[in-house]
Amino acid sequence: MTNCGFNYYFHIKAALLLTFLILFSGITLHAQTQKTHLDSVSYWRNQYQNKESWEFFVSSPGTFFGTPLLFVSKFTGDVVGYIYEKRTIPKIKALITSDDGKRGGVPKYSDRSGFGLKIYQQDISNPQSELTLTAQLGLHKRQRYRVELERLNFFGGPLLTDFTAQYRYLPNESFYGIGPETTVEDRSAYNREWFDTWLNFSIFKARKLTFHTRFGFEINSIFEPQTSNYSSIKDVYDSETLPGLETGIKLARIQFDFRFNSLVRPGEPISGNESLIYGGYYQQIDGRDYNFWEAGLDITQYINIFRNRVLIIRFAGEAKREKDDKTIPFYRLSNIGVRETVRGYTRGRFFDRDMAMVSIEYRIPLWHSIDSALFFDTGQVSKNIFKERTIKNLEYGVGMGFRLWNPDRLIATFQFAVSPERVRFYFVWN
Amino acid sequence: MKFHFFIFFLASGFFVNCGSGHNFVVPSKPPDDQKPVPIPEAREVNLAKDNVEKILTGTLISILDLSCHYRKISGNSKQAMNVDAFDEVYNSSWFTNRNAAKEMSLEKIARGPDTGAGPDTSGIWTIFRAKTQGVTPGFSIEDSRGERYVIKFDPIGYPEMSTGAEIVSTKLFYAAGYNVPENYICYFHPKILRLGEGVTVKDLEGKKRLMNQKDLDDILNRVQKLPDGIIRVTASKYLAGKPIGSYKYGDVRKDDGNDVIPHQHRRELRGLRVMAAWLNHYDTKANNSLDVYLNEGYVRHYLIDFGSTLGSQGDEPMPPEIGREGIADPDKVVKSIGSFGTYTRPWEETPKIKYPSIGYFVSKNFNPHKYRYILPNPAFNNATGRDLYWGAKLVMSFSDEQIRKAVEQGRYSDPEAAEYLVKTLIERRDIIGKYYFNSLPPLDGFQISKTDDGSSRLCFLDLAVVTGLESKDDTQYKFELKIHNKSVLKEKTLDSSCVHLTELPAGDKIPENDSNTSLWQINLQLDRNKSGEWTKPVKIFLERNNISSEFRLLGIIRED
Repeated sequence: MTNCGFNYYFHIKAALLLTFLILFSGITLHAQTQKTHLDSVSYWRNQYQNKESWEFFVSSPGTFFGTPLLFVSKFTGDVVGYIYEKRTIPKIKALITSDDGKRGGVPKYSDRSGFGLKIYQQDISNPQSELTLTAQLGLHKRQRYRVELERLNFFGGPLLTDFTAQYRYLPNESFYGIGPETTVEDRSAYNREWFDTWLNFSIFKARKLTFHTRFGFEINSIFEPQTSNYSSIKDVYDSETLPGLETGIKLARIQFDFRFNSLVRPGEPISGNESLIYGGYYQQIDGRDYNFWEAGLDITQYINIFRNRVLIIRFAGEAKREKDDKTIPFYRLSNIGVRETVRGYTRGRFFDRDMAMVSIEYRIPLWHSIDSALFFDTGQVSKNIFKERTIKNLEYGVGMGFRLWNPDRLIATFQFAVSPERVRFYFVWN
Repeated sequence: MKFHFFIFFLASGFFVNCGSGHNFVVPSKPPDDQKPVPIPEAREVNLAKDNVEKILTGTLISILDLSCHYRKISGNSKQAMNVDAFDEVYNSSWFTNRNAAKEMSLEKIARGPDTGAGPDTSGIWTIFRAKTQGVTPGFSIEDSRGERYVIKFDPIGYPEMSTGAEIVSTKLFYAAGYNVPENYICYFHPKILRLGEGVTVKDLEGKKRLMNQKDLDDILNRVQKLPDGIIRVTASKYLAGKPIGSYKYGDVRKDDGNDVIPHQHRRELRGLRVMAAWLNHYDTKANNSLDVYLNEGYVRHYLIDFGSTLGSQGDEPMPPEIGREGIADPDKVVKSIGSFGTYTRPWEETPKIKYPSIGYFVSKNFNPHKYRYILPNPAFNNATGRDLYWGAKLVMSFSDEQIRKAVEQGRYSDPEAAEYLVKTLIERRDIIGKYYFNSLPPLDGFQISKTDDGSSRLCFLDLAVVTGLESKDDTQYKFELKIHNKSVLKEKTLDSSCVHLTELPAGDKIPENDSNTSLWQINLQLDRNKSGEWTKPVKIFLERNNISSEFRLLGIIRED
């Protein structure tokens, strides 16, 4: 309410405005006969309207174009209010969570596996043990089902046993050929079906150092892709030129690894080291085509610069070698382009026998339990990393992201990365 | 088409800016809002929905409100609707002018809204309502005299913190003029508690069940106790009348016939922003308010629940980011990332809690104008410079002694802690005064008086000088006199804080008119450090009786 005086000029100005309103807005003005109802609530509310007539008019374009947005926000408010009032979330949580908190469910999402739910039951045989069942579904029938029995202590002492079985269906995966010099025009596609199970034995040494032995079995099949945007991998290659194109390839494996973990605040480490050195041997069960071994290391150092600004330096390398005259299925080669290697490329962009990469990431706290991350990844694949000492094929990606965490685990990450080839977004909810 | 818009903006611009003329129109008095009206329907504000509306819908509306942007660009913000000719607020069911209008005695400050002495701890307390879930569990009791109270506790490890904050803030909000409940500190032994019949509690899923002794024990196990098992609590007396739910800081309550002024345009709610900043009352959501339908037949509007003020967040000390930063402020996020983390933020501090009974309450880096509330508040967002100046006047009306007296009511066992709270409140008060009294010229308290020789003078107070924030020696004043909108005397410097009206060499310059009265306008300005930088004028309007030469104050216009 402005302090408008009732002077001569005021009336001219008011008349001008009112004339304009009548002529151009089509608004019919009602005579102010209501003033006779001096005591009425509506009269006083008219006197103290939130907006004067001209304000309604000036705001009308915003109101007109913003109405759909306002409708959506109002609807959102109503839905949120209803959920809150009906205590829907606590009820669902109570439905799938036991009173003692040992059983429960959590939603999951990853761009690789889609949306899903993980249900867990703790204290199966010993207090640390846990059974988890995970089911995830994504576009184009992308599927992942996983059963895990973890930290079973059958034998007492520091020896723990895990059992895992999973089925994955990965449609429209990309393949560009083998070697570091493939181009984006080489892209072909395939569907992969993959059943994998393994038994893992872990021995803890002073909690920071663990030794794992894993016996695994997997069945792999490659099919025609669902997409017609790219050539089928089977049209471009045959099993002579690209090992692993068959269906039902059964591989058994044995793996060993040493892990060192001194992380402080595991959900979002602020200092410490996480290292992995591993080796494995793969043998085809129902044929004599595939037989190979692998070795690798992955070292990550977290440095707390100040106030939980954390610099993370990671180095990883992997080598795979055929045994005798056998070969390696292409999907078991080392690769660069997945989220865990050089970000910013299509998944499966580079395949070859060996891989080496370096990543530098800088995390900055944004709010309680929310960090941002700036990162630079670089790495390359090669046929023999020990002989081909060149960096001319280095691929790189830069990006940033946001991380939601609690002290025990990382809850969600959103990242985008830019490489010379493309921009990629990653979202994971766990 | 462009021409049409041009005409429209021209017209609306004239219309909006017509207040900048020299005529003075006394603002119409709002209707009495304490008339008997039918009882409004009780309502419960859905907290989640209210939050979405404030954060999402409210933000959208403010972005799309072109008239508001236009007002800001044209420097003509929408002023509060319930102010009088002197830019003061009328007494109403929302607010009663108290300390800023007339200094309250220390005894009245200490008493606050209290009409009694609190619950009777010598008899049985019968629990008739309880809340077992949430971070601050509690219950309601009826004492042996039949009086009903809500009982609130201190969190373990922080004795006196929440209860002390509740009481001190109650006294100060009341003295400022707001309606608040009667809150009492009292000490009781759990053995006087009895579970009433049919008392229910809600579980996590909202299901009700009968409360049992274990529930009561669970509540008492989560609160601070004295070594002898005695528990110190705040007992908040049930308000007389029928509670009908919270009020919102925007719009009106449609079924309350007395509620005609949109809440976001009420001066006392806009000005509350400054009081709330002073007392660290960051959580001014609807649920911390209460409408009560009185036996007299109208609704009175209360501020309630001050356990999360000053250094207390109810169940823990106030986190350091409170008041300084909202939830993931976009500008702060950009600053953090853009500076590669070299910019550190308040919530990253590990607060040093020297006095557990006070919690985290500091004056360092306190910026009242940038004080952040946990959620957008429509009234605060609409506050203009005039509203904030008015709010600052409320804060500055408290003397050191009054603040000390209010803090005494918190009954802190550690005198050093109490003195720290007093000192911090005084420091924050002065920061508020310095900021807002520099934003608008703090010239106030205008009065026409007679000198010994019978001549008239217009006297005023420089509140910054009166409150000791600034030195009178460093300040100079000047004024311009206009009569019937015509400047008759320009830039006359004043030696004192009075304008001698009768001595003005303007009498013979009074423009002729047929009226027996003439309209005088005195534009008063100040220069704080005698640097030649004059403030915007405060326009004081007087009516002179040309026959008797008597003056009458009409009102003022304080330019934003």
